[in-house]
Amino acid sequence: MNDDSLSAANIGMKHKTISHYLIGITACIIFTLIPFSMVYYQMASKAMTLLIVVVCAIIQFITQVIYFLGLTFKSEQGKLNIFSFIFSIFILTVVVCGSIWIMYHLDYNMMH
Amino acid sequence: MNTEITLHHHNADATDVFGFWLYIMTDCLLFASLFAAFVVLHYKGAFGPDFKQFIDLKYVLGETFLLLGSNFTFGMASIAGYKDKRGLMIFFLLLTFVLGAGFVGMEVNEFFHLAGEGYSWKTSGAASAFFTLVGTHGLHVSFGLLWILILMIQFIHFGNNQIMRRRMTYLGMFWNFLEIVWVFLVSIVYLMGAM
Repeated sequence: MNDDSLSAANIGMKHKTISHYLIGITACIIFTLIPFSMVYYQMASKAMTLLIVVVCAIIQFITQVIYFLGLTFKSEQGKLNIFSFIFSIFILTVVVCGSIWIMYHLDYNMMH
Repeated sequence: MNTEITLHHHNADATDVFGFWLYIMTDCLLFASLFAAFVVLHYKGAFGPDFKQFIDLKYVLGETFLLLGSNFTFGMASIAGYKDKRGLMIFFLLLTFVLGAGFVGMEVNEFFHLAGEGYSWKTSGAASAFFTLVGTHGLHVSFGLLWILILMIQFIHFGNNQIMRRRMTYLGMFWNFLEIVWVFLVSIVYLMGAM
């Protein structure tokens, strides 16, 4: 009974196995090494490198959320977790992108 | 009667874990504002020395692997916890602590090194933003380390029961959250900074 009451579904997280963590860590190592070597050896143009850094960060983020954190839609609690997560990402995007947007325009209007 | 009690218990657990999840979400917003400040203050031609010349990518890669490794060993510890293998669990928690402590040690060393080379938090607004952002993350990891230590002592003292498993869940969420923040920190601060 004890085991059930903190089971994965009740708290809205997936029950993780060793293979989950192995997949997660392998993917994270690969998507860490790719952008580091791109930047370190300056293999591509600046725009291309920037794109790869951003894409690798997002892939790593998704891998972490799925394989390490284990968010899932499969239970009521899991849905609550995911919706609050999506809401936070929305606010986060507004704060970060909004700040950059405003400051860029402020800078542009003062300098040009 | 019995089912009612257990039902209440599991609901309380689920609510508590959800509450902790919401705390982590608000912590995300704290980091979001620090990221925004960092990006805004690091525009081209900002006052003070360029951060680019101080970046040592190999060193940062070392820090990244330490934190990633500690996340993996924490995962192993929580699996050992599910399977009720207490010795293995303490071992993996200890390993997590060592890797995390290595990460914090490297970061503190990096800060002293930067300050010695003339890039301290007093140098410029951009430098202040850098030290606040990376320092806040480091402080979170340090508190996580303290938490791991306390949890290990509690495991030895109380054994593996439901309350302890819940505490492990909290710590796992916290530790994983710090790794996710680090992924973005490395990408935005170090990799984009070094380009």
